[in-house]
Amino acid sequence: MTPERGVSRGPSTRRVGIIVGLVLFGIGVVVVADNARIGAGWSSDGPQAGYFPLRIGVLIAVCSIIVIVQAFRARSDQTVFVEWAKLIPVGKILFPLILYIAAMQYLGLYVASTLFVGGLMRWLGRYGWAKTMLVPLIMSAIIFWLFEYQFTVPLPKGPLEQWFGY
Amino acid sequence: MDELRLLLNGFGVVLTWYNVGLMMIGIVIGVIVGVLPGLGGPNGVAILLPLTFSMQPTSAIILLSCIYWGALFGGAITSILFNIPGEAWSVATTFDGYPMAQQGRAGEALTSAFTGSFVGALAGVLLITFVAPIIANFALRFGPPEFFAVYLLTFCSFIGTGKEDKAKIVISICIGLALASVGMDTISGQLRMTFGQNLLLRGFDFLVVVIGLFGIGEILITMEEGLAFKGKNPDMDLKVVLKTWAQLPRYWLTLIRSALVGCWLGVTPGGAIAASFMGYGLAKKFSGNPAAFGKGAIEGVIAPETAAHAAGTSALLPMLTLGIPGSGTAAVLLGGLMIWGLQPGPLLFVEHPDFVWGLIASMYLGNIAGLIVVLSTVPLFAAILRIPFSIIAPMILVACAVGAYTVHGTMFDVWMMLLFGIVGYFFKKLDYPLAPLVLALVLGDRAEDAFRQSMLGSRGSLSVFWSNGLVGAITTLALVILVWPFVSRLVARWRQRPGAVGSGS
Repeated sequence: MTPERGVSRGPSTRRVGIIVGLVLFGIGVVVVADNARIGAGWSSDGPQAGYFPLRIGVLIAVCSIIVIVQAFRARSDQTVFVEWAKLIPVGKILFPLILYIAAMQYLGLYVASTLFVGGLMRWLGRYGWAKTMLVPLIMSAIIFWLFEYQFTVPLPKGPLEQWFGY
Repeated sequence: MDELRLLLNGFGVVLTWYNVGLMMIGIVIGVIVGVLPGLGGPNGVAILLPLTFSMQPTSAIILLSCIYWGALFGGAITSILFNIPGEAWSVATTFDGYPMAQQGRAGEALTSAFTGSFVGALAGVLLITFVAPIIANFALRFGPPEFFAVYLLTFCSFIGTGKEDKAKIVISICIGLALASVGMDTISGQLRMTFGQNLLLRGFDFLVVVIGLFGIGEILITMEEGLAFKGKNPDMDLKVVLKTWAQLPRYWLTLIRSALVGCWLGVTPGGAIAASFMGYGLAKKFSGNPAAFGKGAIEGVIAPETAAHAAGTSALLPMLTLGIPGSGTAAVLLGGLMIWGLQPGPLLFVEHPDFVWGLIASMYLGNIAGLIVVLSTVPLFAAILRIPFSIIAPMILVACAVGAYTVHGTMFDVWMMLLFGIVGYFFKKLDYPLAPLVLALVLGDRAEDAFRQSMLGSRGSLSVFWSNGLVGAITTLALVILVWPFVSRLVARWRQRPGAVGSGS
């Protein structure tokens, strides 16, 4: 498991741990600051609104410092957080997911879901066109039937559904 | 026996075609949820919860709790056939379950796992039936300080018994509490941590957070690990089932021992995982043939499954009686209670006996139905796992997006789900526990209210948490559990001193 010297296989767990610790520390500071602003003390009618959350923020900040210090001291920890090569499949699902959610606002959930599932099947699974068309269409039809008719919970719709009169 | 009369009443509530149908649907969805990567108990329940808003609370809880039982059963399928624990508490099941499957004894392993689960669940339900009313009755005397002390005990036992880094557990809990306090303060009406964003007025919904952390985060991790499911074939038929059942009475002591361990640990939060390992360890210790463990001992499958299922079931005991969920899924169910307009806690037994006893009755029936469903349909669920991940993953993501959207019908929640998915990925990889975060998020408002009301009564003095024997005992117990690991580590180090220089940890 020893990595070759000079070749970075990926960010070390230690470094990512420190960065996440710093982010958490920042969150703790923001929580403390915002609650100090609205008042975290004692008023005539008891504890003010920021009383409880401010103390929670302090705990977050203190514990994140402990996490950072621990990570700094664990110099022997050579583990890799994630290998660069393994980050590619993660990106292959994360970026389409971001696109999917963005598209949902304009195309509606049904069209976006059909494109998303079909696209990933074609791209990652290398399925033939017939399956790539059929599976997502059936899925969307089932979701449509379930949500619009059975549960009567409306999901976001786009131009296509409007064209059909929904 | 007052409980029996109420329980029979509960059976009357549950035994309608509609509710029994929901039970079956719940079990099947639950097993699928338990089998698929990226969908676990908490996440599966969270996605479906918004759909139950318009249902009768009793029918809704039957559907959702059956998803929970199904997920508990489902965890065993992946552990045994694919050597992949679907949930953390089925890790111990892989030790002997997978070797058994490799030896072509998958049917035997699955049957004993399911039957063990059933016995464990039954023990848990019996515990709930007879102990819950007593605790609820007792807890009726609780005031705000007592409730805050119990919340404190919950959080402290997560910190004290959790295997993760203590600082990381505290951070997890505090992030949950901080997220819970975002939005309009219910007492003063002031806006907290909204930073001028109208979208944050309502705060963070725990359902969206759960779907993100457990669903999206899990999918990202699964993609990174590049799971290819190559499992063993289950050879299940009635003959195997009956043959295995004929052997099981021999292991009655293991069953009872594991069920007791499970019930005990299940009541404490986060106990199911510890229970499964402890059940396994005890079975090995007391077994006549400990060397067989790890190589396909049937006891090695029964013990952790019985304990985990007993723990998973008895996790609902503190949820029903005190309003404190013992597990991540129980936390989501508790959130559901509040959405349906029921106040969890001791008053539930007084004000909504139909609901409580209907739920308890459905636990008996749900687990019987679950046992029958899983025993007869394992090949079907194993086939679902063989569907390539490139089809399953996008579909799970669509389900997550639909689930997050339906909570309040806003796109903002879907983006939040994505954000928490990425948070979940980092937290999981860096060993920050997720269950305490969810628990704190669900309990946050109630814990804060209890704290503020106690403080009001005592004019800001913490001595209110020792103002009488009851609250003092709970608070002290919480603090003891909190510092216990540190004390025992110090003691261990002190004892090591005369010998060689301790390597520390």
